[in-house]
Amino acid sequence: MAEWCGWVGRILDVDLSRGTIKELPLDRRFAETYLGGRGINMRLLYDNVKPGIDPLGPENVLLIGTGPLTGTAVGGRCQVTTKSPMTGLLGDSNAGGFFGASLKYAGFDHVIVRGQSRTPVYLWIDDGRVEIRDAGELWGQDTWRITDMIRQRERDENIQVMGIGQAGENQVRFACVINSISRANGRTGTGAVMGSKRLKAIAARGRRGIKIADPRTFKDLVWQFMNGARKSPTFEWYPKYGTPILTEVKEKMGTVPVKNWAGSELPGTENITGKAFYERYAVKHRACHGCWAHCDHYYTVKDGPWKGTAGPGLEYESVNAFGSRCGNTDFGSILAANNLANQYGLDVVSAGGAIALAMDLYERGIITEADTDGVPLRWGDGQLIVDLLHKMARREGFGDILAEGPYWMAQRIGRGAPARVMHNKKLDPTAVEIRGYKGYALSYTTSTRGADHLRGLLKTEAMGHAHIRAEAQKKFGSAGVTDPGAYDPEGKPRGVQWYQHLSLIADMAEICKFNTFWVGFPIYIEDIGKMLTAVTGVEFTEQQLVEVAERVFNIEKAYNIREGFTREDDMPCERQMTEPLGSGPLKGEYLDREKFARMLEGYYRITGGDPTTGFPLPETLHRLGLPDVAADLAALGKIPKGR
Amino acid sequence: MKKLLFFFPEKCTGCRVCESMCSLTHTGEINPARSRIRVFKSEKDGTDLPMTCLQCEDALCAKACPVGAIKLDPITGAQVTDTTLCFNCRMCVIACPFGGTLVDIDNRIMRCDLCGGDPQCVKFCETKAIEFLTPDEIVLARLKQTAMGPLYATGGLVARVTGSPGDGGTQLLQIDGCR
Repeated sequence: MAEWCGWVGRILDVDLSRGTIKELPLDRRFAETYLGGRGINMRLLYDNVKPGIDPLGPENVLLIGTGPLTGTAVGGRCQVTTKSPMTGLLGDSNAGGFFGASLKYAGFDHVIVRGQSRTPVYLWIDDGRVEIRDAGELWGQDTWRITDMIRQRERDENIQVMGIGQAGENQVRFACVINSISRANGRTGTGAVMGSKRLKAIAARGRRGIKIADPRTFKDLVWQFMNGARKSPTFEWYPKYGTPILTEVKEKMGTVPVKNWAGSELPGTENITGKAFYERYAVKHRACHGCWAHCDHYYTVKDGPWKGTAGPGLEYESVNAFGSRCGNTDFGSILAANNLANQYGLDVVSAGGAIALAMDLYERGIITEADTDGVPLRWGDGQLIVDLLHKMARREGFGDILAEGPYWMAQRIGRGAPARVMHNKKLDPTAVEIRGYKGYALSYTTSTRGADHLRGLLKTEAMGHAHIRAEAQKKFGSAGVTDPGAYDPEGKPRGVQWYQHLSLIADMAEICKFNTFWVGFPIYIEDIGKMLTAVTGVEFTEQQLVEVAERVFNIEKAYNIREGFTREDDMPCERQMTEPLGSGPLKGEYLDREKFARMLEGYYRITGGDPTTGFPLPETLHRLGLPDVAADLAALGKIPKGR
Repeated sequence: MKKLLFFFPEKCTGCRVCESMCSLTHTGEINPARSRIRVFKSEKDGTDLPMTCLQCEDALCAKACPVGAIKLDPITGAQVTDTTLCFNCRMCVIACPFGGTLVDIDNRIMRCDLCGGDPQCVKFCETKAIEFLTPDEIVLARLKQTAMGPLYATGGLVARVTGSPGDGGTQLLQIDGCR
């Protein structure tokens, strides 16, 4: 058999109920059909998890996946896929850091974790040898501590650890998986699933390397893309400030959510901008594996009440979740909260979202001090945010309610609380206010994992330069595609699909979206294809990649349909359609039900779906080589039989 | 004056592209375990330190080699191993106090060879945390910094630098005398 290039050719299959470890060869045709990362994970999830199971029960499966580019000189990302305890639908999240690369150096592309261990364990993958080890000592410790403990145990600083903190152990619904102490497979509750399996961590090291089919071309491409990026206008700000700069960018656009999505304007925002972060707290640039964009920073707080707080991994999502959305402009407390979230293994988006919702409910008198352990929940109280994170991760007192995440927490409280939740498919949104940007909104609502910008955001709406706008209008075939306020049923759906494919392809190849055209770097789908071809030796043209993306997207949809998804789940939530945005440049904007529905219909038409049901047409599934998926959905009566 | 590899830990982002490119160049695969350059990092402290062979002028590895397989390349300044002579006794590994000679996964010795004068770690380092410079280029800049900083601030001396910094040309430090 020919040698594997790019992929390392093996899948690890672990059953924690039985304590068994199997190694499966990766099938070549399978790899080329589903590519890697999010693609292969998705097919494995669809095939291995029956509909209707309890996400936190032994029947759920946790999948860790890398792509052909993971561990090369252009990426180190990994994907965690499972049934989400937050949405009951697809749970899927991508992370940077260094774990993905080490998993491949240790000899595996993917890991399947089944069952549920009786006692806490961790998985030790040492250069191809795999053990399920006792994690008695690690249980109860945070992600920073377990990383140290595992490294010290083996006397090797190069071991990479992906694990959960106390939040995952306590099955906080939005607990995440952390690797390299600050990079998170953050969304959809991956850490809660890991905790339900009593799997504390996966640690990997290896000396096996990744073969490159065409080293010379690959080197030329890396050089060409790195230098192309350096010359782009994005390079002037993105690598310097990283995502925290989005606070001021989005404030101008009117897309920065404040005070539990009440508006887009907050006095004191100048204290929590990307520039403020860079000038006052950032001490050094840091990067994930194989990345020239080095958008991460190491930060320290030098004075004030949060003096001594230091760590890596601040993103705009943290600043908004613990800052703007909670009405908080004390940067020190945001940095302290960020560290705590990384240590406990809490998704910053949902953690801050839950606190912001609680503050909103408190202000409205829906909850009182009788609910909150006697603590007043006032907007902007940084110390309170930090205190609540401790309680949330430990599920203590009111923290137990917060630990359900915004959607379920509101259901549990009742009394009008559900009307204050912002969500799509029960997942609370990442920090982009979508009511004024109709194409952004379509990206959020049609995302297969729930409200999220990382699944494809219609960036054409934010394009400033006239010539770039003209290019986008030509590419997607309508003038409306660059007008944020237009409910354009042609160009916007086409554009949304293109961006969904771009992010899917990035998630399958496992290259960071922030290294691509997604943020304005001149690296397009075609270029990811060139890199994949040089690395794997298998030709991947843009057209082929788009077909793989379409295939995987439709399996994601099919997975959700099996779990009960309906067209209504692709519509905005009530609050997005009924409550106008309260402040900022787009004050008064909301999502018009009828107009949005027409745009959604356009989206289904363009993406090969049935405009009435939102389900894929049988011919779409057949065209994509998924007759088995078509048969499954037909058997459930969701789509017609036959072609 | 021969060029040396200079490391600037404060500029290193810890991305490990140098390791990837080093192993790819020398072995055709990407494998940090086969890289001649290594990045040492501590996420909790935010430190990232790249390091490789220092290419000593009077190299202990060369002196320790029983068959004289390690010779200074007069053009690149690298201590290069003649693989036809090397019988992999690994004396050079033992002799080097800096850890500059490493052991590959096949147990053969490996050492930075400066890629024949065009170090790929330097080429692919986005932040210039590794640079291939003549000592003058960097040492004089540091000397200038010292002169303009602590020395100048004490008021003991008035220092002035001629030549334009950053163009790689020789810079002269003139001491104009006591204040």
